[in-house]
Amino acid sequence: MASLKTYSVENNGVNARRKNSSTTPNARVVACETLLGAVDDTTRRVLFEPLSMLFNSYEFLFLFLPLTLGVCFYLASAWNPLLPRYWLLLASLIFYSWWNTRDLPVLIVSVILNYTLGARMTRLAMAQGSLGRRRRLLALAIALNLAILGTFKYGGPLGHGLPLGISFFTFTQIAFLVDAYRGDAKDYRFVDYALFVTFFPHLMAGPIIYHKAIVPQLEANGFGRPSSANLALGSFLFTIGLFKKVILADTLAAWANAGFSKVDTLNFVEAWTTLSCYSLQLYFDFSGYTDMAIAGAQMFNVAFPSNFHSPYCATNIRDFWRRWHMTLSAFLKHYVYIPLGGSRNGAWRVAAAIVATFFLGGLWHGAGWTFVTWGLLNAAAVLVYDGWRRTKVRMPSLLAWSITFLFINIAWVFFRARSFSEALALLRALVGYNGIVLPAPFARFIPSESPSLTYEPNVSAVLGHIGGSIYTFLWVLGGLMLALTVRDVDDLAKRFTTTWVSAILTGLLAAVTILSMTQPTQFLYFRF
Amino acid sequence: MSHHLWLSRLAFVFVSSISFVSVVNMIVDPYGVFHFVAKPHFNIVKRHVASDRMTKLYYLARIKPRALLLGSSTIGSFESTDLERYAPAPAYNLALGGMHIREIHAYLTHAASRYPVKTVVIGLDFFGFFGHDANHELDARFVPERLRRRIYVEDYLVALFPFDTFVRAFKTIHDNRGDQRGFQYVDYETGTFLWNRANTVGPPRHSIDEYRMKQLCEIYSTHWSSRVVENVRYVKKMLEFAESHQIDLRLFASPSHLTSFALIARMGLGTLYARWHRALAEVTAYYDFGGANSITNDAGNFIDTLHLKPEGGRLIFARLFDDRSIPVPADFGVPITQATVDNHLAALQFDHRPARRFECSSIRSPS
Repeated sequence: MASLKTYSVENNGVNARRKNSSTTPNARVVACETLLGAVDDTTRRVLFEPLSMLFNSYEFLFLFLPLTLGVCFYLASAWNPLLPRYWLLLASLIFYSWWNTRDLPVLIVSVILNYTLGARMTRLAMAQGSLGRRRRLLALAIALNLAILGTFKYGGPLGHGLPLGISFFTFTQIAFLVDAYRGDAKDYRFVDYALFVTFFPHLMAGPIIYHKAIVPQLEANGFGRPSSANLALGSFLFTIGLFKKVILADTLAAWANAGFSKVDTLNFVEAWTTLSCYSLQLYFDFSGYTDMAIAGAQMFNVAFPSNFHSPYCATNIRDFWRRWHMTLSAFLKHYVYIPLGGSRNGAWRVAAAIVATFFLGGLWHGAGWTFVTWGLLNAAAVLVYDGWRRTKVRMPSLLAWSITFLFINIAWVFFRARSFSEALALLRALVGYNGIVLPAPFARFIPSESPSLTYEPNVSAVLGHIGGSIYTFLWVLGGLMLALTVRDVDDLAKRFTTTWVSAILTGLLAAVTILSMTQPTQFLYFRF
Repeated sequence: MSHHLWLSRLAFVFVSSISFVSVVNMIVDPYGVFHFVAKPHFNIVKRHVASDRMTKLYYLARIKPRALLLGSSTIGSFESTDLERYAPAPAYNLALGGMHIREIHAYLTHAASRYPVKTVVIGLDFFGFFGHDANHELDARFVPERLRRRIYVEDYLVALFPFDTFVRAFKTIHDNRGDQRGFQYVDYETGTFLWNRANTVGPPRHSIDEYRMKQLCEIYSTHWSSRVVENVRYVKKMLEFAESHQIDLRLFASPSHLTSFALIARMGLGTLYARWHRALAEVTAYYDFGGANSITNDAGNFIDTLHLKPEGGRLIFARLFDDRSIPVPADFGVPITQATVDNHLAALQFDHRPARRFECSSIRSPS
């Protein structure tokens, strides 16, 4: 046989993915898939086409935000106080339709429709008008909102994908409509109402805001005027949020997505690592977005409500829901749970209200049984916790935290899985159905003859299906430490001080984060 | 400290940090985009494999080749100096990892329109004719805009700012100090893909072989196989382009080790493989170095199951340019025309057994 001598090698294409040196639309699609896993064509169109500007993009950081702030400050200082509001309304619509104007008509129609109906109810309420007429108007308005939301979110009409942020702007406006019906809303200017709904920091993924808290701030004298205190605090909080998204969430996403794309083959350690990565990714992604939203509003002198309060520190499930996506929890409590008789009319009625609230909460995230299951699991956990509370037995804090954290993680399996079969496959892997693989040094302590417990030479081999290594564990541990010890935005804002050290650390953190931002990736909550 | 002063200091630290990283990136230039400084023992050698699509383009502009090698990494190890025995110098190996036939066509027209290219040798891979899916991680690396625009700004941004580039800059300095530790890299001056013999941290051979098979499994099972015959149109386009630009274009079907050839049969693609060869033979005459022969039967001739050692490239050039001074095994390189293709296909032994130990679903990345 002929024989050859020297060596050479090829370009390892797959390893190039995470370090891809291109920022093209194609690369962006790949990066998005890295975040959420492979999806069908329709979902890909909905999720991955760059429709809106992202906070973690160069165009937002170096073009949109400075320009919007600069023009707003100039108009607020030199001209009619209404001008900055018109300017920000225009800027918000540009932000929303930066890459694609496809969804803009849906947003505009929704705002006009709700303003018209809400203003009509407000005027009727102010004039002590017929309650029956207001009720009919409210029913009509809510029906129209749910029809629009249902059509786009659950009906998938005419090949039109899910308009970005539709769940958020619909819920924001339903709250306004209910308050208008109750006579709790004022007769706002259209520009103020439209800006309240479309204000770019919260438009895509919340936090869900209330007209009573926000519109007065838009009408206030200081709105849009330069404030070095708010700019400093905004810069600090924005940097923290960007760091959470770009460095923490996007790094953990690579392992989480690799695991969720191969649930059938994961061993025990891989399955738990996948789930841990996803839990932390979801928290850092969404809370990072919220931090940036709050920071962005702060720069215009608008205070947004906080959305997270160290949720993974919760020691029971009710505590968790008081700390996680707080504005959605508050919305569901005020507009679903309490009207359904929660906390008032007997144990069965309360239980039914809890189940209905979590059922709707699950459905709000998506029209899939996995989301409904996730919601119902949480409802069941709340009911179990309520039952336990009645026994008056006090559980040690560490045990309570462990049970709560474990449950939250297991429930995320249904939240993230694309189907029941995928969720069940991961659950099977989590209990060792596909076998347990440990690094070889463990063989000294846990010798095994069983085929279900095997050994690999190193951690990289143990985590082979998710492309992990010893660093994966370090990222998970580090992420968990941060999630448990570093405060969320409210506490950070209180502790913020203008010192040399904070200026240097914030500047360095911002530089490292922005320089790590080679491929902007979509936020997880943009899909809801 | 006042808020105003704090903001000024924050801006100062931020701008200084960004400027420092950018200046280092520009001077060291790990992707070979700027080329302001090129000093031995500092930054003259750039070896980052994953940036091949970007870096090779900037080297191409500096080298202005007269002969080109094009294809996927299966011909990546071929040395351009070997091609210079038969073609005008300088020659450049423009092979890119997983290069699709559409991409080969785009790079050929790009290079030949800008540089005085007279001879082109193209290695054709069966997998390179599968449907090109821009959303697939492999195909997404091809950026047509990079070839169309005179200045592709994104490349300059990537070469200037990202923290990854900064880290790569230090690795470049490290490489240039003679302590190259990567198990695979590219010599961008010639375009050749290299294997670091002295490397001790790379995966073992069997692990790389499995990984290559996994890559093939993914392409064969996820890409649109229905496009294979249709994509032969790019070969026809290249032939027309070569004729109109008076380029000596030579084509061959690349060899791979028998196990990866057997995977075609194992995955039930034997008929499609035959249709591909017939479609190729309809548009041009070419050499087939694939299938079972005295080179592909011996794993020792390959770096891994997909990649032939450089000596194999020397034999292929000898066959393509009819160099009788180099002894080439008689069964290595079969001339194919429309008249001979059926006989050749009938003689191919489609045996799936060499690939039977590979299970597409359970192959892991190399550890």
